[in-house]
Amino acid sequence: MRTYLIFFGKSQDFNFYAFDENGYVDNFDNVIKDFDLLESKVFTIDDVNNKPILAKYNFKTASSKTFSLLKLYSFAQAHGGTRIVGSIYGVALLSEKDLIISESNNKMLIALLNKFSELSLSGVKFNKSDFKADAHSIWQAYKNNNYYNVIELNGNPIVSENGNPMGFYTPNLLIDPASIGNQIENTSKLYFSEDLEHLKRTSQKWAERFTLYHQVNGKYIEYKEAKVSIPTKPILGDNEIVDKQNVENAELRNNKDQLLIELNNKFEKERRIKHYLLISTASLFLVTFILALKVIIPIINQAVSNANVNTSIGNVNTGNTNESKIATPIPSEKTYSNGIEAILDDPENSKLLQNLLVNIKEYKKKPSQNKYYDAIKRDAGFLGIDVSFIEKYKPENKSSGNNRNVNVPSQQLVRQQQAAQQQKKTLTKQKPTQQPAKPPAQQPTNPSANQQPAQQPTKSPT
Amino acid sequence: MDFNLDTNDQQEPNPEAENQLPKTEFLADLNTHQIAKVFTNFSKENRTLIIPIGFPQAGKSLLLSSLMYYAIKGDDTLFKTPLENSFPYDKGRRTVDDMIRYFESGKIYDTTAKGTLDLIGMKMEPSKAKLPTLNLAFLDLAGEDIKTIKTSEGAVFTDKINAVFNGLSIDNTPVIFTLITPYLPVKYDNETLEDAHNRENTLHYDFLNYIRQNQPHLLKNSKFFVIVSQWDNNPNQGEKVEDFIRTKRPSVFNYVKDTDVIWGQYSIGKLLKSKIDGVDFQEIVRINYDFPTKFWKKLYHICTGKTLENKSWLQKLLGH
Repeated sequence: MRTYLIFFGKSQDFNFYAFDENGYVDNFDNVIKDFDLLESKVFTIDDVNNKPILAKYNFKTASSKTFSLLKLYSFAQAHGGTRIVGSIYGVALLSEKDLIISESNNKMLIALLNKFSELSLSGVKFNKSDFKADAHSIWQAYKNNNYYNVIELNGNPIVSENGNPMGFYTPNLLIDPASIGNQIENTSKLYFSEDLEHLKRTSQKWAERFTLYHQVNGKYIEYKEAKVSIPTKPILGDNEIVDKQNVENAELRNNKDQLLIELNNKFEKERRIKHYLLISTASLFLVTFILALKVIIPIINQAVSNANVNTSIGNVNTGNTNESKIATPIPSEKTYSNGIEAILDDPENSKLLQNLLVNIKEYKKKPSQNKYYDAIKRDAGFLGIDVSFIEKYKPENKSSGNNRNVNVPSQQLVRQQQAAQQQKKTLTKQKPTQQPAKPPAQQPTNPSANQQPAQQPTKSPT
Repeated sequence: MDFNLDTNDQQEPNPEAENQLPKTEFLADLNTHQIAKVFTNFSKENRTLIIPIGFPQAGKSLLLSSLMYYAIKGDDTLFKTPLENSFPYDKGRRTVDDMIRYFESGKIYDTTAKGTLDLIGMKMEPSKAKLPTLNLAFLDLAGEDIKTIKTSEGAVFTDKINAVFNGLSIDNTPVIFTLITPYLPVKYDNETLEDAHNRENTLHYDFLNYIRQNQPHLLKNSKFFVIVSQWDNNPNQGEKVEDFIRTKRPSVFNYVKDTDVIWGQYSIGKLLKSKIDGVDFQEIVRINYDFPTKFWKKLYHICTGKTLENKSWLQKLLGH
């Protein structure tokens, strides 16, 4: 038969150190597996001002072994903690024999608790996170004084099937529990306390699971009182009501501010998302547009150019210089560029162009030399180049000072040039290697009656 | 002095009634077989179990309080959370009531006592009718019981916790382990802050390793949330939680980084701290609604694959 002295508390985590007569019990699971009856689940500490609580449990372990536990505990805050509720420290006796609730046993527990407090607490707060050393030194003194032999025990513990605890208000914790505790057999969990309010709160919280008794005329009867809400609200004075209202208002304002902040954040997020999306879309459009300019438009241009070449060939093929119908005008740039390409592609034409340029140069120097004029007209007509500008170098045009209309080609000249161009192209298609035939010598042309605009050059005396 | 409970005028305890079988016991009061059996019903109820794993002082109870407060009292119109009342959720129901009462009054709720098995049952009923209802259960355990997983403390869970796992493994019930680790762990005697971080790191690693080695069948249908609690203690609110875990909980990070893990930070709000007569007091003076909102939405999405809130096509497109 063994009896253990146990020190327990929530110095940081909840810990307990159990000592038998031989010393510290290293692995208490070997005695009782998962021993968890030191912390009360029902009548626990809930306030700084709680008075000590005496409790007795008789219980059976999973291996059907019976024990009796007598413990005394009170409030002590954890060394590094700030909690109040559940903050405990206490001492307990645990025996395989029934522990009597006696004045002697109670006195022993009170002395142990006081010593525990003296060593491990500063005021009501643990001064260390581990009280093992303090527990050991108290046990040492306990053993040296043979106090194990002083513990009052009685037979085997009786374990009731009723697991619901009973609470007793005892104005004197040292004496009163001893007078009643051992007479109760219909429960295995007893609590005693001098703190009636604490008992009442617990009773109201647990209702049928924690019945409270108090002494009336020498008898213990169930404590009955009108239900009070927990925690009890004090009656507020006017100032207190106002203060309370102010606090509530502040709380509401804070809540409102928080909600506004959340709402703003939400809107801001959405706005940013839309902004980024807009920028991305615009960038994508811009990139696409630029690509289009670089790639698609040249393709379109090429297609339009091919269409215009076909159109010009179709329009020039008139074959009748007397036809009043005027050929579809060809944009000068297109004609020029096509003519230049044809000229440069053909070495003979290229040579002809060089001769033309030389003749133009000579004619400018000697405009009276008609041979240059004729050659220019001839070659230009063959190459399809407009040289009407040389008219201004003609002696009669120069003297009259009337240089207007000299650059306007006559219809006949245009048709001749177009015909020559067409002939050249036809020859090129038939005999690409053959040298182009030189056109017959052309007579210098005179402005016809159909020349436009209207003014005719007038002869001036040389 | 006679001790007599049989009086005429007052209601007295009836010894016969007291000797009858007790009223419905709480889950923690049952034996391990009965406990395991309770958890075999989860798959039938299509219920997902969330187990917050946090060592003492991690802020587990407060985080749970914050979540429950938001679920029950929050103005969110996206979902409702009716609570289960009957066994095995009866004790958990009381716990939730206490949690909310404490939270509302700004008080710090009690730490979970050793041996506790509070099971909080609830449904998440979305406001959008098309979305499915999600059945959930939170299992509140004591940090001291979880701590026994530490290698230096035997590396075993309590029999009750093992009974829970045994029950879950029957039908491979989906489990979400929510690892809760504080931004600033409490320092023990002669410990530096770095020591405290290392201690937290080791504890969580030991837990993960235990699950892998001793309960590998649980991993099949398990997901992990890693939550850094008390994030309001972080002076750099812009810091990424993943970076914090990588540097301060490296073993945990390396263990879960390639798994389906979700990182997150959490703060219940602002606490006012004072010292009166040598006793430290804390009171919740500002409640944070942002973190619990995100948690519940994330939880729903993880479990159902659907989102609670209405998103525009633009937001969906951008993965907002």
